[in-house]
Amino acid sequence: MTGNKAYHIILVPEKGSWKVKKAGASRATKVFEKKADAVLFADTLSKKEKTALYIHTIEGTIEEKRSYYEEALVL
Amino acid sequence: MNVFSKNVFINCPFDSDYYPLLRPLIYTLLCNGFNPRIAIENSDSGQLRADKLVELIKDSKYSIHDLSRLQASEKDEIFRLNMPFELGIDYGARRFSKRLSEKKFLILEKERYKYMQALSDINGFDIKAHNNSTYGVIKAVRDWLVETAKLKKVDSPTKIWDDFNECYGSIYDEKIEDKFTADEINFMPIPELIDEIMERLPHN
Repeated sequence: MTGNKAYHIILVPEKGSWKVKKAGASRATKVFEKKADAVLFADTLSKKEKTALYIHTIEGTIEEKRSYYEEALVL
Repeated sequence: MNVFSKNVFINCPFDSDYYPLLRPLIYTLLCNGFNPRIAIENSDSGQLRADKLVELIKDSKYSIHDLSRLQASEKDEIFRLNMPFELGIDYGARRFSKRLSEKKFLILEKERYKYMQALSDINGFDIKAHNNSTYGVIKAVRDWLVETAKLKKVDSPTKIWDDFNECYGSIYDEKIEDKFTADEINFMPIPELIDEIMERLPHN
């Protein structure tokens, strides 16, 4: 696992936009009108920080999880 | 834990169509220190369903009755009567029992005043519309707890919504590790979902 906190892409209620938010943070890193743009942005950040990205559905469940942390090599 | 003043009887459909609203409803109660009580939490087939409901109603100071699914959504679909029936039992318990006279109800509906077309007798109850949205459920339940249970310093609906999403991410990780499929995670039995959420709440 990584020491960096994961990113979440969460629906902004009643506005229909999507926010990129770090786990436990009180504010969003950035808000996007389109979910695809939020995914693109958060994916780049997650890769750079070697952390995980949770892409949520409008219901709050998980649509997809992407992991970019370095796994221990098992031989 | 079975504490009358913290128990909330939930009267709603338990089918997959309602799960998207039931998950955040349960989360909002748990994160505010309440115990969701539902008819399917104890699958003792030897007990009549109506008797089971009466026990839950007697054990719960609070009740949430979601009447948003009363109307048949398709031609030839049967009108759903369980929810108004259970609301009637609950109202009778409050009305005719001194011990239960302090019971509090929240009626949830899809749109404001929609209930009036089907059940105008409940005019005057605490009624809130969730607009069929997960956030709408969180806001309705959270605001009702503040108004009715007099909770103070309660997190905002947006904070609860964010925390619910993060909690679901954590549940997803554990369940995927345990070889659950996405559908099995999203539609796990309600008692299991309650346990998973409880494990992740900071006050537990």
